Amino acid sequence: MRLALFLLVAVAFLPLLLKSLTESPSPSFSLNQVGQLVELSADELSQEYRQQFASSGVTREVHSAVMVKLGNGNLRAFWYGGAREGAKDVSIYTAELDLQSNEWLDERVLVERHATAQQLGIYLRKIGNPVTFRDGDERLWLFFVSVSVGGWAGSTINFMISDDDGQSWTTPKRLIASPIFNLSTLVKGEPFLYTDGSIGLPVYHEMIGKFGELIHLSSSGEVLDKVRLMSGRVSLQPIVLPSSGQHARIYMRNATDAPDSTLFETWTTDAGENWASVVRNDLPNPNAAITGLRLDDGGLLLVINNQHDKRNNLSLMHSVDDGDSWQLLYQFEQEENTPEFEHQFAYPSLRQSSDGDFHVVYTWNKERIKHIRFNQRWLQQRMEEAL
Amino acid sequence: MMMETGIGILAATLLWLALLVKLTRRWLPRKLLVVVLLVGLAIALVPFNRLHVGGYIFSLTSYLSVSSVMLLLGFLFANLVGEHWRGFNSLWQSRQQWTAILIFFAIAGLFLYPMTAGLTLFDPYRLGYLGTPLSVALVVYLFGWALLCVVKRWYLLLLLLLMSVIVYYLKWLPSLNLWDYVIDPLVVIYSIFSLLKSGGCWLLRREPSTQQVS
Repeated sequence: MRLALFLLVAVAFLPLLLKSLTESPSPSFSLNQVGQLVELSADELSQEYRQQFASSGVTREVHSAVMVKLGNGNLRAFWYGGAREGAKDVSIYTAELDLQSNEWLDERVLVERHATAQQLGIYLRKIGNPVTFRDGDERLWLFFVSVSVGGWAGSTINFMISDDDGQSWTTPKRLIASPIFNLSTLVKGEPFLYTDGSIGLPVYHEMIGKFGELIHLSSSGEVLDKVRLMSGRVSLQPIVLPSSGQHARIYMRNATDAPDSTLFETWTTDAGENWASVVRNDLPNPNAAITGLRLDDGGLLLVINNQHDKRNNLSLMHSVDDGDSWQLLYQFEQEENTPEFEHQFAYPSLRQSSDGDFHVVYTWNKERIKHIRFNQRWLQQRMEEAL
Repeated sequence: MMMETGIGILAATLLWLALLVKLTRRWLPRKLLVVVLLVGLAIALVPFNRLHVGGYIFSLTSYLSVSSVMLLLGFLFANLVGEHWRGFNSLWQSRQQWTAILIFFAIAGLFLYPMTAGLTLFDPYRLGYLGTPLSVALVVYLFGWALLCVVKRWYLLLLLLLMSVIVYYLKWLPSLNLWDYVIDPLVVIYSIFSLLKSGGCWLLRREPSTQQVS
């Protein structure tokens, strides 16, 4: 009897032992989201810089906009809106930017709390940050956080997939990403692709500790691995900017509210197998989300609140030496705060459209999602001026 | 609703029924516990504000581990029909079996949860994906306990470990992380409190005799 039990235990655990002893190398980063810079002749293009609102103001507050490129070349944006952040009427909205007319069309509710709760079979208290990307099979993915009990620290990530550029979506599924009642995994940084079709999802943890993490998902949305980038209570909302199959930089929001707070950064030279110890960057960060884009000439663009406190400034930064030094290219926003009103230009998202233009969307005083569009000529002019 | 969600809600409903039995068994004769179970089941079938009791509990707990589900099933079985199953009863009521179970879950939980919350850069939850060289430590830990269970005849814990591994292979939960099949915070909290309670009782019993000696 006992011998049979020994054998049973050995047979049961042997596949686990073999699996844990088999090393599977990290897949390489895909560079499909790298910004393309093309050769421009002197008279080819004039500088273009346009701004407008992407949201129409149907909700009292809006926040946390992100964008994704569609098959027809247009961009689709997602953001959440409602009476206020965390209110029960908050839904995730979407709208499509027609590149030709530069108009935002078809603004509508995509994720509504009650319907989503019913689809997930659970109680939902509130809905929060969405992030989106397009995978190698041209499918759109939308990840968003939801909370059943407590504050944002109790968040769980859900995801939906669309095969038709956001016209229809699968029912939402929950990611299991934490052993403590699956609580406290949130998204803000945009996902990215690996060359084998799997997905990198930058996430962060907010319960007791505050730290950035990186989830590796299969192409069907199963969590394959989760890497912690930092411990403690200081970092949030990582963004990942690959520069080659093996190299990438991560920048993270500083969650400390210290008077001299700056961004955190780390990097890998082996496709994320190992990440360098996190260090403080020179760029200021007033405990605010950031966005960025790697350019195909190796340069880096970041959109940040370029000061140590308050979010009344939003700036475009450029680095030609992989983040060692930064030049201010442009201030999208710079307003004076008054005792009565504090400006909030926050949660930016930077993307390039198929026509080569660059687009930034961000929360404008929590009232609207603002959209800024500029072309490569304008960007290059700013780069030349900054030198 | 996905099939996995259904499994999660069923497990949460089991927790609801076990809580009802636990709360009422002191005052009710064993035969009436069946009635409590049936009433609990009836309540679980009625949606409140479009959601069943199991759905509300599932919203808080997420997926219970296989160990928890097995222990809940064992608890209900022991309280409702266990008296007619001597073999099961002697196993379920064995103090030695329970001490092994409580110690196993307490050690695993104290290792996993504080570091998962950000105490260190090392994240023990990552071991459960079995993708890093250190993952072998988790497998060896579980394997070691399973072997110990055979040697010491702790068949209840052995059953929990084997069932967790089998359900992991079958991927009945929407997770590829071995930890999610073996433990969850509920079974760990229960284990730690039970051990503290036993430790407290042991100390209280010991105190008078120590005084006598002195």
